[in-house]
Amino acid sequence: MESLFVAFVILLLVMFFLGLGVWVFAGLLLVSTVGLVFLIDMPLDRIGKIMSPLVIRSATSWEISAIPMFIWMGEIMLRTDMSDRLFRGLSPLTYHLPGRLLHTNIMGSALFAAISGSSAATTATVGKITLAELEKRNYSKMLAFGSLAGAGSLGLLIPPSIVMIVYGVLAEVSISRLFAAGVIPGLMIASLYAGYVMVVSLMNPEVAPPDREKPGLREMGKGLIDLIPIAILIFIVLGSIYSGIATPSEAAAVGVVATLIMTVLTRQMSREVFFGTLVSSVQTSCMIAAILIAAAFLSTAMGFLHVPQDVANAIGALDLSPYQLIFILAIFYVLLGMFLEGISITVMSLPITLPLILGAGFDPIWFGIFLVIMVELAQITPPVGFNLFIIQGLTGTPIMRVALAALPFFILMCVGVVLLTLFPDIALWLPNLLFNK
Amino acid sequence: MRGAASIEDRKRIGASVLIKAFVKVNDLAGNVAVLISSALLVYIVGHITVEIAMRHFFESSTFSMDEFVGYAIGAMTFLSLAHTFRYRKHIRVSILQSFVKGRVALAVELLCIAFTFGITLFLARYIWRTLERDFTRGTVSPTLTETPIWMVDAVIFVGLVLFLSQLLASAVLAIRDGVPEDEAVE
Amino acid sequence: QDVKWDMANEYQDTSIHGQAQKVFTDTAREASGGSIDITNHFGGSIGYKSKEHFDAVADGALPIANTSMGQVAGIEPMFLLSSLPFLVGSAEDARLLWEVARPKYEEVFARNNQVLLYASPWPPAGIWAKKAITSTDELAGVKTRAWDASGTSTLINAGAAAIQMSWADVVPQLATGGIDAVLTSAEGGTNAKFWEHLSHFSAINYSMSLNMTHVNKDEWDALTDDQRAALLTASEAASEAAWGALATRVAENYADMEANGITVVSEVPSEFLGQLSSAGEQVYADWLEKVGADGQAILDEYRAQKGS
Ligand code: NA
Ligand code: NA
Repeated sequence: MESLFVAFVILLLVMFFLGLGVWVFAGLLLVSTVGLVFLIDMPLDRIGKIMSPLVIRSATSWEISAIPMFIWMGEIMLRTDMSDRLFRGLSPLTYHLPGRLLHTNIMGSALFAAISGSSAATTATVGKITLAELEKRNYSKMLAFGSLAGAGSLGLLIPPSIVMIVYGVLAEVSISRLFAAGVIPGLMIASLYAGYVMVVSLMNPEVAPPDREKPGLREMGKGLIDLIPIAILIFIVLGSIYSGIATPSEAAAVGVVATLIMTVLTRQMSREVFFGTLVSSVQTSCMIAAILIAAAFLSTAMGFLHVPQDVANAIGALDLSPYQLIFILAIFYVLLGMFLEGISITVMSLPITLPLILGAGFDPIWFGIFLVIMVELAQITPPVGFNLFIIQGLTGTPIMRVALAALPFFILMCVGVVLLTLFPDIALWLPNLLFNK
Repeated sequence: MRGAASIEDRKRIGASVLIKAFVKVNDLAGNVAVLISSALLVYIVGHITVEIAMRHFFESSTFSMDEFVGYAIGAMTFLSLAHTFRYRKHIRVSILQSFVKGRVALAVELLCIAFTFGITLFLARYIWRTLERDFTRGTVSPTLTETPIWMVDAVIFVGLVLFLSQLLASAVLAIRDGVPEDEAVE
Repeated sequence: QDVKWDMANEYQDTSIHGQAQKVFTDTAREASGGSIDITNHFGGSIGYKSKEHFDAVADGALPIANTSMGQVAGIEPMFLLSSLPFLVGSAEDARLLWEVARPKYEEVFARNNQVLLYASPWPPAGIWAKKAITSTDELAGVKTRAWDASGTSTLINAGAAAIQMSWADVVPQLATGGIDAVLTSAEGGTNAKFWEHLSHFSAINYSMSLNMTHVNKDEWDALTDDQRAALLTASEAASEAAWGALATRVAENYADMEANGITVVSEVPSEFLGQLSSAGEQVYADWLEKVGADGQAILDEYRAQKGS
């Protein structure tokens, strides 16, 4: 098992460079370079010639443009009274719900997922708005971080979704059907999360302390009014996508413009708000984009090392029953997901795993949803987990603690996968209904 | 007694002035670059808004949106690398950092900076090579705009040079003032 | 000595180019007695797009690649030839153009430290839309997505509202009505299940552009004579597979499309084709300006041979 050795060496290198404390983007470039030199004797000169154009290409790709814009939108909401209003509004409304405002992460992410196609943008934007507020109100950090890490990845499952588009193109299945197929599993996983938060809160009320007296009807009404600005924003952005005015990748710009206009209309615009939010958004997106670029190079290195191909081929040679196959593939994807980000995982493994899956009689739309959930899991597994990085970036909490906080939500997502495998109609019912088949 | 200041002292004072100047220059360059990055973010939003409006109201297009927005994103990322680093907003897995103190911490920090410097220098060397080739050959993008590609390479290269310089400044500062705390992105 | 290569291809293994590439690598392995082992990286899985293949192979960063040539026309304008609008009307035309231009292509590759092995064609592109597009009136104002600069410019000149957007945005935009039509092959639309949003395919035979397989010159020179012979045999086999598959591919696509309710308009009035051709003349003029007499010579030779 040569590829196991290769994977092991890569793991050691990741542990060495990232464990030493090298900044993640530089660390990933180092891991790739040292790995290629050490494992297949690739000359440094060739590595440089591979790295340069790929770095330029992944840095200048249109696909990542939504990230800084959504971050800017979240930043403006944070610096104006919009995020405050959101919490003031939700606080009376969620008073009787076990877990109270913790649900803002889950509901906020699910809602935001309907606007944005990426999990990084979802996590960063929702986190910008919620984490500080939750901390101020003494909510459990573990639950706040964990629910955000888990729910933030719903950006990929609830349409629109970049990973689904990539899968649809590669697997030659209808992207519209894939989008439809993601809705119910996305809501199901969000409900699992909400249920978990409620159970934990019932068992241990301290995780979600009440920050107010029991609200009356009038206060609830006032709360609803506080939610109007956010509701208008969501309506505008969603409306622009579903009316065909903007593409999902352009919707972020619509969101920024709408937020800016609202800031002006509510007389909160100032030099400080405009420039302060800009610089801060540039920093956050620089941090995320730099890691994305390095991660793209790591996946190219893995391609030259043949890791995904070899392992997937080995799985193919095992001649497994359908359920065994799904189980082994799930483990394969979780392991791959420790090091690679979502689109790379999809692109690198699919040429080999898709024929296996089709041969075993699985529906390609169903497998698309399965794969997207695998990619979501990858977002919250260390050492390379984007949602973990983003939450560390937002809060300064070390990644391993964030990963620990995310663990229950990782397990819940696995439960979601099991349900999806046992009842494939969770994914297939809606597309079959919509496209009458 | 000023006149009695030894050569050693004067050397030290001279060095500290140099260090201050070097740090200042880096700060200034980083600030200018991050302003350009901010302007680019505004530009991105603007271009997309114009594109949406043209497509929707005039059945037309700028015919350059995904391309130019892509360039702007790349430029924005690389031009802000140094400033983001200066304010400690790049993230790292700081397990080791929480255990070590004093001289060991400084050694670890310098090692991390050295590794980062090394790989960035390596990347910059090959970006330069790409830039040189795209420039001399006059490579343009395979699109309607036929943008000379070397311009994009050049901005990325400049960003990397600023970042390298900032890494040096950070190393010097770490030696002088000790290892700084990592901050959360605000 | 044994050769282990990684071969990049931006497109899937099920595309014409992917299928031909599998023939290529399998034949190369067989004909070399196993001494040439090429690992296929389909669907862009090694991280490269066609745009970067040309320099990567020149540098030896990639030993070998299968590249959509229109994407590298910004480096060597000659490569735009196969994607010029309305130059070839059939598979025979496309093959003739390829054979006429091949020496020139080889020269350009050689100048860039590479060896050209074979070419595989894209199926002809037409217009997918919600109605038949058989006249300039029907095309007027239709929001149509084209895949490259030539297509965009031709469509604008023909009176359509050409739209440029990334392929990833196409289906969501079709679903929501942001665009009305797409210029692509029958196969491209079939793979993306365009029939969920569109109803007609008008076969205007816009172009049949080429993918080429090219290998780094140093790697090539380092091979033994037998290995080079094996690669040439494999190239021949792949080329035959690709060109041979073209007709059946298109027929299969049409059958698929009709089964899914798409009206295939295969007879497009010649008057309309003439108007579209004139709309593409700007693209020709621009191209000839860049490639000069070399380009004109190829066009003349191609027209002479086609006429005879
Ligand atoms: Na989404
Ligand atoms: Na991960």
